Amino acid sequence: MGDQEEAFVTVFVDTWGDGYERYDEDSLFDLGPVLSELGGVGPTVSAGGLSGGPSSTFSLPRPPGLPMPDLARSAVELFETACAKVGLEHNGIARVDVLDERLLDLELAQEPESYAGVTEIAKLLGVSRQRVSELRSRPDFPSPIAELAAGPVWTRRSLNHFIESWPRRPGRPRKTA
Amino acid sequence: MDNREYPKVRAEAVRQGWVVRPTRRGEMFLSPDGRTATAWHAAHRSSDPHALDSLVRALRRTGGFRWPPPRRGG
Repeated sequence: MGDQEEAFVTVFVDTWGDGYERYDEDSLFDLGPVLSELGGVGPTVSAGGLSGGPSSTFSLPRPPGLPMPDLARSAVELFETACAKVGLEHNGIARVDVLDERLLDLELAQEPESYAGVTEIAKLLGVSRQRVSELRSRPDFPSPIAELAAGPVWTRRSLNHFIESWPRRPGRPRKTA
Repeated sequence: MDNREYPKVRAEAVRQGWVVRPTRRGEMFLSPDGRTATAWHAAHRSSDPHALDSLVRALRRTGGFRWPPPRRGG
């Protein structure tokens, strides 16, 4: 162990293909150890998804001063070499993401998304459910992400601005005849 | 993340709709939408300190896995 903590980037490589069922399970399991042998750290191998081909998530040490595009190039070379070694074919690289691990650590530490319905919003605002239904007609009230049979659903995050800025007035709202 | 946390990640994945299927070489995580398979190599369990981080990142990316787990009733 060195005195200085080593910096890493995390790499995501996606390829085009025809869905995970097409790929031999053993080849997918073989790819991880080969990526490790070639210098990939902690590789996880997937297949399928939107692009349909094999994909991998792994880390690489980040030598000081080495630009991200160079790391992306090395990551693709490493991935392609590993695929060739285990005989895993794909129809071309669909995507390469290289992220500083500090950003990923921040993402992992983030509070996961939470959701609210009319009852939860009523509690948050300290009003009745009926009042929430009235507030929904305001132009600054956020749109729900889904309308279910049980009622509308919002992400909790989408409500923050409204909750902070809503000009609450005491008493009943004035009737609009 | 320590690889000893794997059982917690696995249990949470199942709770979030992933199907985890044992294989000869480890376990295969099938995403809730049935479109992606992600391999967890049994040999990773103790050998690679980055392995579980990579698994969580791959599951988040390929199937919307939520980690840390969402709070109930939040």
